[in-house]
Amino acid sequence: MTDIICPLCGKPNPEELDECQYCQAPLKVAGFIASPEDQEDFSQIFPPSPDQAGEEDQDTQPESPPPSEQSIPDWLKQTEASFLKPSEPEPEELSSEQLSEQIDALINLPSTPAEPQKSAIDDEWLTSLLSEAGAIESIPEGEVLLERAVETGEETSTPAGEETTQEEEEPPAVPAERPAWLTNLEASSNIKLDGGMQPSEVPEPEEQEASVEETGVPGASEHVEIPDWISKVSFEEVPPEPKEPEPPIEPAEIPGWLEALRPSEEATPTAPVEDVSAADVVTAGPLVGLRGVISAHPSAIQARKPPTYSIKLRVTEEQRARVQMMEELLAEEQKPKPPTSKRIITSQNIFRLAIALVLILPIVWMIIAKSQQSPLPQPANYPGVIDFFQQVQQLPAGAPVLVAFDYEPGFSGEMNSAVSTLLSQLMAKNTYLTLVTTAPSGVALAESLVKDAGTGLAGSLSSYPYYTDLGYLPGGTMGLLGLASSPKTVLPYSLEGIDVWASAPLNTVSSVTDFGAVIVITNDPDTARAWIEQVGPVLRAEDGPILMVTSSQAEPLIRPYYEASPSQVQGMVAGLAGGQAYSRAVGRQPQNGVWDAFSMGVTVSILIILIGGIISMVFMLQASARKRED
Amino acid sequence: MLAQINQLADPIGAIIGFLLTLMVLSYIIGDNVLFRLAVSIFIGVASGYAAVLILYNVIWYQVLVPIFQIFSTGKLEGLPTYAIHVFPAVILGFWMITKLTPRLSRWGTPVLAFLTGVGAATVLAGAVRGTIFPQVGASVNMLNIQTAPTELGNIVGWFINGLIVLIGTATTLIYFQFGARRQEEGVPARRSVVLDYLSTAGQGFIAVTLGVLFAGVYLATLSALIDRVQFLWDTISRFF
Amino acid sequence: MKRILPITNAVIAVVSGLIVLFGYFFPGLLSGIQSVLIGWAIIIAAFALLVGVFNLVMVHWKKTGTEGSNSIYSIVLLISLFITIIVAGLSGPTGSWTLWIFNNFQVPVEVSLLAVLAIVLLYAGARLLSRKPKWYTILFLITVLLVLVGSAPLFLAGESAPLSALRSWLSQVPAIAGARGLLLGVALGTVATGIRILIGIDRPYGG
Repeated sequence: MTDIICPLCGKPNPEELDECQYCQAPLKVAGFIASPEDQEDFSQIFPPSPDQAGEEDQDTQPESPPPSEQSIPDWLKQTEASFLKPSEPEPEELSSEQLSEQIDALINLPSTPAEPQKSAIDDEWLTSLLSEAGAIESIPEGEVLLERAVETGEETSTPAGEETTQEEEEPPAVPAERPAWLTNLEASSNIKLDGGMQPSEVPEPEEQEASVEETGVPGASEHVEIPDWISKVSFEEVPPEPKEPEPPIEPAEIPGWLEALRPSEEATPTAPVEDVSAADVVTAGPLVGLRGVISAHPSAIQARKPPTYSIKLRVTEEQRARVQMMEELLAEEQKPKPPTSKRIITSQNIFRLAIALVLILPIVWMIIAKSQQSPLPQPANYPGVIDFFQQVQQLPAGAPVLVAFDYEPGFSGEMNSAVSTLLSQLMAKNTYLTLVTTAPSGVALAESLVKDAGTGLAGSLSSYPYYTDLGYLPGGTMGLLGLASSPKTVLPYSLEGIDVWASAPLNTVSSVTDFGAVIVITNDPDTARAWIEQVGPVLRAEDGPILMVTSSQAEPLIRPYYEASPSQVQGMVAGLAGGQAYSRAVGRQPQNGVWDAFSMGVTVSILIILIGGIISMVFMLQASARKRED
Repeated sequence: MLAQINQLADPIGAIIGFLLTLMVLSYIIGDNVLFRLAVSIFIGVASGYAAVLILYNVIWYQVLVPIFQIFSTGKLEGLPTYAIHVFPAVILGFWMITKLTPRLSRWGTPVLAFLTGVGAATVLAGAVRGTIFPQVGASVNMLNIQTAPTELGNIVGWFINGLIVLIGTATTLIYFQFGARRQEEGVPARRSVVLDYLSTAGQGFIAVTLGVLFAGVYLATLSALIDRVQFLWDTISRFF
Repeated sequence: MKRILPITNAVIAVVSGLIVLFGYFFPGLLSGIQSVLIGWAIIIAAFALLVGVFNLVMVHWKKTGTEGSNSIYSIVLLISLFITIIVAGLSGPTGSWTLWIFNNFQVPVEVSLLAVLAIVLLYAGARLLSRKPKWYTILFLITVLLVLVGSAPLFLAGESAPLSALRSWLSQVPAIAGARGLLLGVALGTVATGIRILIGIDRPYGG
């Protein structure tokens, strides 16, 4: 199998590849498919690196030239072969002086054409060409012209003699000849030639091909067409002309970028900063012969897995200890802390216990003794009580009354006496009680109280029959609005599932104003306000009364509605005192010692607040005095 | 058997009430296990009763019974009313159950939005026509000459009281006005001096009102304490 | 969907609220729709209460599975809840057994909680002057004492007419002034909040 030597790295590649598998340089350029023999010659110019030398030795020579090679004429191959013959020993090591000379050669472009060796070769080439074609043997001028046309594309008229002279004088500027095809190859791969031609001087491939076609012999065929102009050229011996002083050559207009590349003239070329004398010499590629060059060997740029570096942190013992401490802190944060067990016996608890005993013990004494020493409250001292009583008294017998049980069972101790009195008064008038509640616990409360009041009133075990329990009205304020506009719609059935609106007396009730009165029993000022705001305006339009039985805690916030003008609440009974006063107005006299216990409790409470306040103030003044002293 | 159970129900109930009362009153000493157990029992009983009440009062009698009656009696004239007033609400109610799961919670938000909108409109209208207009009118009418007493001695008291109520109402509202005029840069914003004095007066009225409220709350709780002491004594005297 | 749903929620709240509100001003035109919407809201509120009870059960059910002493309270709560549901469900909301549970379990605990509050409030009142008091603190304390004195006859001292009259004046004049101011302030705040909800600025439903 024929391998193709890469022109860049010099490594062998299979022939089917278009690019080098090591450095991705194009292998098949038009006009360049070196034959194995040529590849050998080529390898002499660009000797492979030592590690590749073995590979190349092992590579078998191609038995038959590849098809692309067949397209190259033999004369070109011969020309290439002659070009590739090393005419002078390859300088493997360049001294610093030689290097500087090379650089000078780069800076001062030779105006003369190529080396005399090359001209000699050209001459031979041309001579052979012409001898074959039967042309004149010596073709000094035309040869030179031809050569230049091929290589440089410029027309010069330097005679061959001067060339030879210059050839002797000029030291070899480059260590090896560079054929044009190689120059083109390098130019196409954007590699700056070392000691070679400037990019502007590189002839166009088409131009070169054209020039080759013009001058070259097509293939190995015997027909050599020599252009007419060659035959017309007469090579006459021109006597050496006296040396005339050369006209001053005007410096060429160097472009700006080129000027920028010009090294500073002031700076003398110094030796490299780094001692590269021990570095390896580049043996292949465009930088062949130089030292200290970063290897362009494909193995240097070959894609490979980058080395893995350990990411293990170097942690000192102290850092490790701190990390552990931080982790423990964070772990503790996530754990739910068990509640710290509080000491039961604290000064606060003892003080509170003492207050409780001081308050409870007299009350117990009053309860046990069933004391009735304290005078019952007078209804006249409670303005709302009288109005309340009168409103209830004015209700027609048998009239339906809406009673809303909207208080919490916890306030039953305070309000039950007023509620019981109210129910007894209503039952005495045979009013039809329509019970409703906006609190879930109100249903059971209402049932218990009505049953107790009914039993007590009738003196028998049967409960009061003239009532219906509409049950729980959900929705809070929205439910009250619905009740005010159409109670039948929001509460179509009683709690027992009976359609109470279809039978008397509720069949005459279509709106809340059709009730004789609306009595709201509540301990919450917000609930009372909701009834006043939603149901009150509807009742007020028809002069329907709304009455309130409240707790002491709600009284201050309901009183403004009672005291308003016109009044929004037509009667109000508030707290235990109000209930006792109302009971007295109705004619019921409770005899269970509750009022005396209440009186005792209030008295003890006043004393505790006064004494506690005085003691607290003394302690506070002492503490502030101590602070001032400090 | 049932009669015996009924007979024993009252004393057993009294004992249970007695024990629960003591468990709750033990909080005077400090928070403890007995108090927490009593509160847990209370929450369970209250919640269970509320759930049963809703199922009876609303779900059974307002949602299911009407539709059963319509189809059992064949009186379909009630069906449109039911379809308009009840059925959509039941659908929305079941839709709201999606609020229980975090994944579907946001799909139940439209129902809450509906409730919020209706509730906001209800309280807004109630506040305007139930509190603002009547109470402002009442504050003004405190000095209405038509409601003044006829006796001279009472007129002075009536006038002073009316003035106090009017000034108290206004200064209480001024106290809750926290706006201030912007000052130069670096100078803290301050209310005007007149407003400062008026709000101080309002602060006094609020202190008096809160004192009355505190006393009312204490009297209510004192009544509850007396009731419990009485219950404990009645239970003890019943058994001993 | 993330943007459509909040806008839909706001539209629902605004439209339903405006219908109910305008039902007050145009009763002939919108009272029918208003009553329909109110009826829906009442039934939905009942479902909301059921959802709340169910949520309570779920929360405490999860707590029973956790370790610790707090799980026993959740167990007790769930047991009492289920027993109440069974008994009240069989007996009815106003049945004798339901009322037995109500009167012997719920009422004693609720009243006792309020009774304990009396001790706590008295303790707080006694320690009111322990810190450097301001002038309104002293005014507050004086008011409390005057109201207490006037609310019941003092034991062994009897009822004092001047103190009772002072207590009546306090509760009928300055307290009413302050209470009226508070009620108006609350009402104005309610109106402002309601308007903000009805124009979609505030969305407390989480839209």
